[in-house]
Amino acid sequence: MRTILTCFLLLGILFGCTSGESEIRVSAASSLTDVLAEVTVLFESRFPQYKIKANFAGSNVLRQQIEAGAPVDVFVPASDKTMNGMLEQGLLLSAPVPLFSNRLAVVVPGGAKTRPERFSDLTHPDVKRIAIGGPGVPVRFYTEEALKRLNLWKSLTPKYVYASGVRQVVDYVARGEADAGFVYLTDTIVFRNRLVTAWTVPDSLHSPIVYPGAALRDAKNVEGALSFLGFLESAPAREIFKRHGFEIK
Amino acid sequence: MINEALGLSILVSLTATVFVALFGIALGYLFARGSFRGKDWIEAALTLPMILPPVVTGYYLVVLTGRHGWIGGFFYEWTGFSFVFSWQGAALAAFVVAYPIMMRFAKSAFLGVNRELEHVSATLGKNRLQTFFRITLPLAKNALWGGAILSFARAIGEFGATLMIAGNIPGETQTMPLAIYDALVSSRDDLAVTLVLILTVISIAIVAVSTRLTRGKMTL
Repeated sequence: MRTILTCFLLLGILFGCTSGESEIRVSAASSLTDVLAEVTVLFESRFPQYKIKANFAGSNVLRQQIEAGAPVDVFVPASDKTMNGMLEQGLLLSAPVPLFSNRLAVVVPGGAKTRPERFSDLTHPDVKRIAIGGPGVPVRFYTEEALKRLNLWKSLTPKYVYASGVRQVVDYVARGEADAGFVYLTDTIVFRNRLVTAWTVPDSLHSPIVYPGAALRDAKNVEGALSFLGFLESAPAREIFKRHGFEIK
Repeated sequence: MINEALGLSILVSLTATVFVALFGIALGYLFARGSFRGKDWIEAALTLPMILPPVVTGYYLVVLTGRHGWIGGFFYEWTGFSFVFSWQGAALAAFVVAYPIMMRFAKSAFLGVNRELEHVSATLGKNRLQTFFRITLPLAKNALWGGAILSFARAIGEFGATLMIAGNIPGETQTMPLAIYDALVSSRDDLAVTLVLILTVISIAIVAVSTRLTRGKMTL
């Protein structure tokens, strides 16, 4: 009898967690890890009835989780492509809103002896490895666009190391294993102690890097999802995004 | 792409298994027959890579063997060779996660060898090395093969530490598990399913062979 009661108690602890405040489950691109942590603190202090549960990964991984039925209320990927695909699949509650935008930057390790200064330097034999996002990682899409426009994509192919997300590009370059890498401008701000920004990639070389936000059709907490999305567009939240290097149109 | 990944996986796992067998048998023998201070603790420490999350093992490897790592730094200055982003790095990762399996199999295999026979060999004038190669090793043979095959299976499935040290470069360091990950996250489901099935069949075959070889005499 005691054992059975204990089992029920354990099950209760495992599955019956929600009480009092209601949870908002947010799935967001990994490039938003730091900035959303800050925004969340502010949001929860203004709306104490809500509690944010954030899940960070590559946008495409998050999308697959949602398609497979993961309980998510708000989705903020690093690409409109991902979001538009989901809109077409009918997975969204309402049309996505563009929240803020980012830019692409080329980074090099801190202690590098020779440092590339422009795109053509990447073809130099001293640049042995270039870290870029792997297939399906949004930063890869913009990197590929820019390098293709510069006619460098093919010739640099033997140098690529494919990362599972933009933060792994950061890691490969920061550790000096890759000689250059393509990351978001905002990553260069978060990791300014570990990375050197060689140059910022001109906007004209790739399609706009927009972070759209939307509530999901299967959201459990629609009210919470909509207030969080609204908050992301508010002045205090925008202030935080700007400070982290995001641009607001 | 499938052939490349499969070929690379086999190259990496075979290379790793050769070193796993040598290292694992030596350590297994040491722990089965030796007695020295702190033996249990050393054995536990050497078993760690089998238990730790591969990312942690990967982290240790990167810190030690990276281009700016404690050992890797010297090595790189000296030879210009780095384990990072090379197939040898993938083999190193596979070796580190797989050798504890071999070590434990070998230890229990040697413990199962009747020591009387080793004593008889000694009384007949054979030294320890001769006894090891002509008595102990042949008697432990099946279990050692079983351990080596299971280590190979562990090596071929290695993902986390491999990604950290060898990276994910198609044709160079992209082994089967990495190719599967890539195919899955880029929504190439057909390719992913094909790769998954190949790896599943290989793994079942390996474990079946290992089970056959060690039937009735295995304690890990």
